[in-house]
Order: sequence, then structure tokens, then C-alpha cells
Amino acid sequence: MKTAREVAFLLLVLQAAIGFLTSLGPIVLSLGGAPANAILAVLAIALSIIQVVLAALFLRGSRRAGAWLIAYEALCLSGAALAAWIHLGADDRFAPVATNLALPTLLLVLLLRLRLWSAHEDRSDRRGEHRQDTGWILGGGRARGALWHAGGGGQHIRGRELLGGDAAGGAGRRGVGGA
Amino acid sequence: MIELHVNAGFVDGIAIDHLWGAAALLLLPLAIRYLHGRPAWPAAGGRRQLVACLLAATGLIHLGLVPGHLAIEPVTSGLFLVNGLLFCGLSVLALSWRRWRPAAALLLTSTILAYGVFVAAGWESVDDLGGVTKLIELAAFGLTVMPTRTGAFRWTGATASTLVMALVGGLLAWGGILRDHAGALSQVPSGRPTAADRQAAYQFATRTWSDISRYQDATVARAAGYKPTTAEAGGTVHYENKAYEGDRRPIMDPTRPQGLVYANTARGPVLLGVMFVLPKAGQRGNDFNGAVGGWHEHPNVCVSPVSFSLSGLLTPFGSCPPLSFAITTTPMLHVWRPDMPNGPYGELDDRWVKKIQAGQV
Repeated sequence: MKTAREVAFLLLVLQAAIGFLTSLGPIVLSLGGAPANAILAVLAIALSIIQVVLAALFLRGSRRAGAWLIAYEALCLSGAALAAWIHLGADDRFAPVATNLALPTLLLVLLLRLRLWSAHEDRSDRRGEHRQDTGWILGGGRARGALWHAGGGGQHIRGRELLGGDAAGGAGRRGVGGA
Repeated sequence: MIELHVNAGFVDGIAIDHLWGAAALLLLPLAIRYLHGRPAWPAAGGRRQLVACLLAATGLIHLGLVPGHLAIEPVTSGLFLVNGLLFCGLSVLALSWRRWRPAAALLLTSTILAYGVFVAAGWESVDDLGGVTKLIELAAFGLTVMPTRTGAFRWTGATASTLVMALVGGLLAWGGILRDHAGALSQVPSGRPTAADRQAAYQFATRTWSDISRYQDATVARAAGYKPTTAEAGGTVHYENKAYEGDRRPIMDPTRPQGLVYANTARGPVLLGVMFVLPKAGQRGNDFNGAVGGWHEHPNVCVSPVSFSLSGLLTPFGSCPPLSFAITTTPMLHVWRPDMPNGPYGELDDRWVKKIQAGQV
């Protein structure tokens, strides 16, 4: 799960970088005499910044950020699927299919799996079972459950450290990354 | 320009000499199976396993590019071979070698930047395979530089370097696209032109220029129904005449071209040439039995219902700006002023346009 979260974060960052790149066309056109394109440029940049912020929060374990990202990816995917269905341009080519359909699908699957896994963990917590993997790779976020309540004791600490988190249950209480 | 070779959608955006590179990806399951069977695989951990697979993927693509370039560009072919072997070797070593991270980061950085320089310099065309390969390499780069320990500083640095690498690589590739007639796909020549075909093509260009010379004054063009359709503040402006569009349009009529192209100068617009546009996508233009290589279409134009106009071009990775979608233009042919250095049907020479704007031509 740790790797899945890292991969999801990385793909979100790459998607945001592509989003930044898409803003360049509207910027050039708005400077060249088509000012309505400035709206699109601002939107592209704002969406990319928000995506990076949400990705960072998601990496720290925020479920709300995860939910927003799931909604965003679903929106991106539906837009791309609609464009592919209408098919006016290069939507069915190799690179657009990889970037606009495969990438959001992969992200959606990863994000939903992590969310399901997290919900499963919560149910396990309520039943008093121990967490095996926190998934909070920055050691932050709202690490609820047995480990959190145990205050990072004994064997749980070792398990958590092995997974890359910190022993005390999160940098969320001490600042990002526990530094 | 990349040739429109199959008109079948998925592989249209891949240059013919790169098709073997795409086909090489079919061997990836075998490569993963091989990596999976290595003794170091189980202990490598998810991230290293994934990086190894991504390196194997880009390695296979690079090796697949060797045959397509061997005959015409042996040096490029040699570089692809070396790069492919290094990637494949590193994919195996990444599972067990202690120093896999700096080695992979160095190889990936140099490959992504070298690609950017190659395409920006015009030594290679940006195609869909290039975009997807860079995406694979960027993912591998991100996983390589991502820290294994906690710490905001490390994570911020890794995220920033991945973003910067994607932006720099993307910008350089975009430079290559703009240089290559904005990523247009050219029509495959219909035959081997004879001297008579070349003469006919030359005469058509001469007649076209003679017939449109009255539009050297842009006010005459405006009075005839031509209106600017691209940003007027740009270096060149396209004017289009809606009366000559639609299904019953004149086809290659020198007196009634669909578009005019002007250079913006301090003295006002200077006519550079005309643009003939066919009514239907995928239609073949008369290329005088292959003597005219200028017929092309733009499959990567983004339009938006928000700005009610062109909103940009597809990025090298194949994305439009938000609230925009890609369209494919119908085939078009430019016929330039006779003194254009690349010939009347050639790629518009930016330096020539700049000379015109400076009043030197």
C-alpha cells in the first residue's frame, strides 16, 4: 500500500505538470490578441496547483484530499471519454489515450483501492484488530486506529518504521515530515 | 512533418520509423517475467520492482527504434542502441545494485534532456511514441528520486525535481512540435513526380501568386470577405473567407483560395501566401503526382467552447487545456510567395518572415 500511495502521488504530480504545460497555449494566444484564453490559462494553472497540494495532502494521509482527487479524476476521465466518443480530433491516438484515458483510469483505480483499503482498516480497528500497514508514508495525517491509540508501542512501532512512517504516529502533530 | 501513414487513429501519431519502437513494447511482459524470475526480485521492494519494469519498457522502446533509423541516421540509431542497452541493463541492476538510484537518475535525466535537445534542434520529430516514452521515463525518474525516508525537505525536493524535469522536457518537446509545422501530419506522396509534374506544380504556384497579388493590400482582402482568424498580434495572421468554405467550396482555385497568410509588419500586413483547404478530413489533395509535399492536416488543434476559438495545441503528451477538446483540421496546402527560401510549397521560413518584418526583403 505504501508503494501504491507513492505511485499515485507521483502520477498526480506528473498529471499536474502536464496541466501546467497545457496552460502555455492559452497564455500565448491570450497575449497574441485572444484575451478570452486567459481564463483557460488561469484555470489550467489553478487546477495544477490545487492538484499538487491535494496530492501532497493525500500523501500525508488526508482522506478528504483523496476524495477530492477521486472526484477530479472521475471528472477528467468522463471528459476524456466524452471527447473520445464524439471523436473530433486526435483523441484516439497513442499519446492522448495514454495521458487522457489510461493515466486517469490508473489513478482512479489506485485512489479507490487505497480508499477501500483504508475503510477496511477502520473496520478492523473497530473490531480491535492491529494495523499491519499504516500507509502514511510521511508519518503524518490522521493515522487513526490501533497504532494511533497505542501511541506507537512495541511491535507496532517497528512495523510502522519498516513502512517508512515515524514511530510516534505522525508528523501531523509535529509538522510535515516529522522534522 | 510526420507522414500520415495509415489514417487508422491509434498509431497515426507515431512516425513510420518509430513503429518498431512501439511494437517492442509488446515484449514488455516477457521482460517483466524475466525480472520477476531474478533472485533479487522478492527482496527489491515495490518501488524498485516498478522502476525496473519502467526502465525495461523504455529500454525496449529505444532498442525498437534502432532498425527504423539505421539506414538514414546511423548515429541516432547508435545512440538509441546504447541508450536501450543501458536502460535494459539498469533495469536488471536496479533490483540488487546499491547505487541504482544515482545511476538511474543520471541516465533518465540525460535521456530526457537529450531528447528535448534533439527535437528542439529539429534532428527528430516529436511523435506520440516520444511523448509516451518520456512519460514512462518521467515516472521512473520520479520513483527514483522519491526519498525512502520521511522528511518534508526531501519530499519537496523530489516533487520539485520531478515537476521541473517534466516541464523542461515538455517545453523542449513543444519547441520541436512548433518547429515541425505545429505537429501537422503530411499527406503521403501519391507517386513519383516526373519533370512534367514538377513543371505543372511550379506553374500552379506562379499562377496562384499572380491571381492573388491584388490581396497584397489587406483592405482589398477584407473587402472581398477575408477576415483574420488567428491572433492579429502574432507574427503571422491567417485570414479566411467563409464564402469559400463548406461542401461546395472552390477546390484549389487560385482566384478564390480559402485563406490568405500575412506577416504583421510596422508598415501593415504583408501578404506571404495563400491556403487552400479541402472540405473533408482524410481527403487527398492534388499533389501533382507527388511533386507537392505540402498537403497536411493538423490533428492536434485544441478548441474551447469557453473562448469560442482556438485554445492551444495538444501538449507533447497529448493533452488539451481544460474545457477544451482536440479537433482535426481538414487537409490544407500553403502556396507561398515565389521568393520564399523553401520554395512555394515548403515549410514557412521564420527567418525570411523576420526579414520581411524588418523591411529587409
